[in-house]
Amino acid sequence: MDMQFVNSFKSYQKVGNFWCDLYPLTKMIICFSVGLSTIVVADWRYGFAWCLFYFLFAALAGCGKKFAKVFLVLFVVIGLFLTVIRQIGARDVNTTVMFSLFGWKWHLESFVIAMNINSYMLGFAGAVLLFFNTTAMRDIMYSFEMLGVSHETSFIMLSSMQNIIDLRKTSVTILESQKSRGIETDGNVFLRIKAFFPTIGPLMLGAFSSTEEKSIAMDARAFSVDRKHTYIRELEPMTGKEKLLSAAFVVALVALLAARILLSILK
Amino acid sequence: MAFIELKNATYKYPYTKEPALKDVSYSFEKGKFYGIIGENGGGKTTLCNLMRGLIPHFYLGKLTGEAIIDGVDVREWDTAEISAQIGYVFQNPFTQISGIKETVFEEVAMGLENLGVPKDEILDRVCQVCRQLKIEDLIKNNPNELSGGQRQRVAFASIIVMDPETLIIDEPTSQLDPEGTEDVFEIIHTLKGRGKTLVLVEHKIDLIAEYCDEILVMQHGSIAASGPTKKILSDLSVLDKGAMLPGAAIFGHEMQRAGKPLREIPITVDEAAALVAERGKAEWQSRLKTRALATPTGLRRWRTLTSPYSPASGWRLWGRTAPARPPA
Repeated sequence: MDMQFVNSFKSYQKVGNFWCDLYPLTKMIICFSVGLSTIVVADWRYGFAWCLFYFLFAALAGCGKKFAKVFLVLFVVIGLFLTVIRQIGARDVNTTVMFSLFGWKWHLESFVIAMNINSYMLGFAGAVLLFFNTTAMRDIMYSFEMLGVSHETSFIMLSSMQNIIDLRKTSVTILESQKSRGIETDGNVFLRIKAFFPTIGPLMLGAFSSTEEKSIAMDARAFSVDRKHTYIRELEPMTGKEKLLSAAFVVALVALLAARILLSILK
Repeated sequence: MAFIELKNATYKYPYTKEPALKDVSYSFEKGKFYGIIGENGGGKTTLCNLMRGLIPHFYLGKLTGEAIIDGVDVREWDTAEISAQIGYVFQNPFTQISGIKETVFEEVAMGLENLGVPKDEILDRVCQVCRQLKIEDLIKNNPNELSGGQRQRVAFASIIVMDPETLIIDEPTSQLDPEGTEDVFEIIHTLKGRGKTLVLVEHKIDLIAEYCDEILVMQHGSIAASGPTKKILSDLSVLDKGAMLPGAAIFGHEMQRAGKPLREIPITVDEAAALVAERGKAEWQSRLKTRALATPTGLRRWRTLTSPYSPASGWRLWGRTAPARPPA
């Protein structure tokens, strides 16, 4: 028996990384404040500067590669789409043409607007992505439970994640069994779609039946007993410093919002 | 004292024509170990569901008659409270894993967390159960990535760690190898020693014969036979009721058919070995006596063997020996 592992439950769960060891709500407040601030400022320099910080934070938290993989895809897809859409909708009146592509003129003003939109879209998406990449779902639900969210809600959220994985595994099993009975499941897209539709019935029926059994299993574990729960895996509650840090980010966001409103009134 | 009492209990699942349980009456005493056997579709699992209170609270349908748990009708019980009193391990190990815990250790501890047991006690009890079920090497593994047999052990550990007064176990060894099955039965036996009431549905009849106090044979939703394990499992008529006989009992009946009956029909291997040895000894003695009467040498040898006195070893009476001469 690994007693070191067992004894690890006697103290707060920590991984030894400043960012990862912050209480989930602290991380959530910081990430959402930063994300929302990019929308409030709506300036490409501010938004993209934060995007660079996200990479840095993700790398420091030990999930740089995982974060970069998803974020760069978002960057390319959202960035390209919005830039092209803005150029399509651009008018030729009082604008500066940057270059022409097979007779299609690209305007500087539209490009800057697209960059600004991109910056807050990616600024917000990046903040959310950073939060979920560096915080385990069970930790998020733990902090919500500490705030008074019922453990039934927490269970539904967490088991839904596992159900997606289980359903995928079951669908592969059903497809394999169909294949062994001689049904074509490989080939072009139409063939794959044709093979996939008959699996939906057994997949759904299996999911319903396993949900029934799972609820009995949870009942056997005294899940619905109305008593105060114990948590063997505990996170350190928000410290004074964390509260101060969270408050600073919220105040900064409110200040930015106020400044933005004030500026728009003065204009 | 009866912990669970069924009086003419009849139950029909929703949207079915035939009742799954028909007029079942039986008293389950505290501290006893009951085995439920019988053919597939005989009503074994439905009976367990009724005893666990899932019928009529979870499975709607029509329940008539009475099912009394610890003096209170099952209809009046709060299902959540029953779960703290009666543990239930069921057949499919794949749906018994919560899916929300990332390690086996946390999975096993989940029931105790729900019951609000202090953390230090949880850690001790989980360690103890993991050792008992030989899953201590798995405690850091993800329970969703275990094999069927491993999941079955984890599911079993998750229930016995809650230490319920009564335990209903529906085929706990269906995915286990013989060694794992023996381990599980050893634990069940230990639980019985601690005064727990146990109800076990199992097809491994040899193990049922070895451990259970009483047997219920279920057929077509009714109790076809019930009583002490020895009485039920040594009776050939059980075969007509869709149940199996243990290998030892079949051997006993075969011996009888061959004209060499044992003193009684054994139901376990140990019993069979003892009865065969007993029969062999009696046969050997009778053969020796015949020879002794036939020849003077044999007669002398017979006397030496059966006489209570010999100059070498002294007196031998009722299994005790006394020296030929008292020590000086």
